[in-house]
Amino acid sequence: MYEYHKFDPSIKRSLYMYSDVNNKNFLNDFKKSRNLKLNNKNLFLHKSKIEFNLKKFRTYIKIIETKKKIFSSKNKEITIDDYIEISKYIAESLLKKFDLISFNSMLKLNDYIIYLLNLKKKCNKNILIIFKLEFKLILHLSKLMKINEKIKL
Amino acid sequence: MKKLNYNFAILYAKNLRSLYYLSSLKKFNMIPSSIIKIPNNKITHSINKKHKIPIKKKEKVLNFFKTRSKIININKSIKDLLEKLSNLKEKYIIFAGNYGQILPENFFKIKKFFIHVHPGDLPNYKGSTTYYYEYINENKISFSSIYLNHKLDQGKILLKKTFNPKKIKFEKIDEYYDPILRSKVLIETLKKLKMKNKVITNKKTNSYYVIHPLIKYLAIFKSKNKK
Repeated sequence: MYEYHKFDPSIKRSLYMYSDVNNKNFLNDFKKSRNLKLNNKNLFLHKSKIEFNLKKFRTYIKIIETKKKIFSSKNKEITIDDYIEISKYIAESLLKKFDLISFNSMLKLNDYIIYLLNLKKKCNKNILIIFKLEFKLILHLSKLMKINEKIKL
Repeated sequence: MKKLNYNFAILYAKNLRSLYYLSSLKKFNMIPSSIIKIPNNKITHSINKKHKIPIKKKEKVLNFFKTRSKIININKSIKDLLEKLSNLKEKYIIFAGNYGQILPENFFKIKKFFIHVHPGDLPNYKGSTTYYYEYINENKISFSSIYLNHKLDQGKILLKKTFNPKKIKFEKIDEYYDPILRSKVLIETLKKLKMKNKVITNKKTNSYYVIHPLIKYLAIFKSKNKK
């Protein structure tokens, strides 16, 4: 069962270690985790103050992996809306130039976004875009790995 | 079988990897003169729960070493560990610590050589779970033994060995092939330690992080469907 979107990775630090992916329903369970229930959520256009450039991109990737959460200059965790913007930025960058390390981190960030989404009543409407971008990148990776014709994504 | 006198120690936390190391050392009659036993941390505890059955099968090897090696138990204090390591006669210490454990910088000032087997082709694949990335990118898997230093996976490379991925069932790599192949490389490294081989330069490259389950799934899918 896919459960990586159900935990706070800063608390469960071994969340992704020795992950069990050997059950036949893994891929379906992963896809189900991305079927977001947004009916009761208030979606709005979010204006982010987050900086986006190459240096910040690399910093975000490192922080997602090492500290699990991103903090603003005021030492407060950024909001889900800003996480969504970061995910969108990473995904759009990867569509131009793919790299496995960053894609790995983006998937974890998206798991965390779903975790946070369950705690919120409203969020950035770009949430609708980030999982479409994620799916495009999964297709891209499967083509690079030459498994796109065999795997049913 | 003739006992190979290597005069080394092993820094060990109880997990599947360290138990496989000890089994291999026993098999090749390479007996560590000291075994420094450290407590398991939370991460090792939680992963050991996932590996419950293979750990129970391998635990018996500990009895073999009880009468052949000096066992040094460490309490939870890092200071105690550093002191005991400093006082060891052995120059070489095999690192078989907790999963994800990184030795503090002051450990590298005590003039010991910590031997670690990294699961990936160094210097190109530093970090965690790198054999998945190596397989996805280059269709091969490798293990590299190094002397640890204060920089992650950047110590002197002692030995690199590449294995045929067609002979590996990727769905069993974490629990079975990883500890076995690491042990193979460890044994070869220990045998080569006295020989003057060229040390491969370790250069600065990107680090890989613990692989996301979806990418891991795709790597396993690729290995199962490769014809």
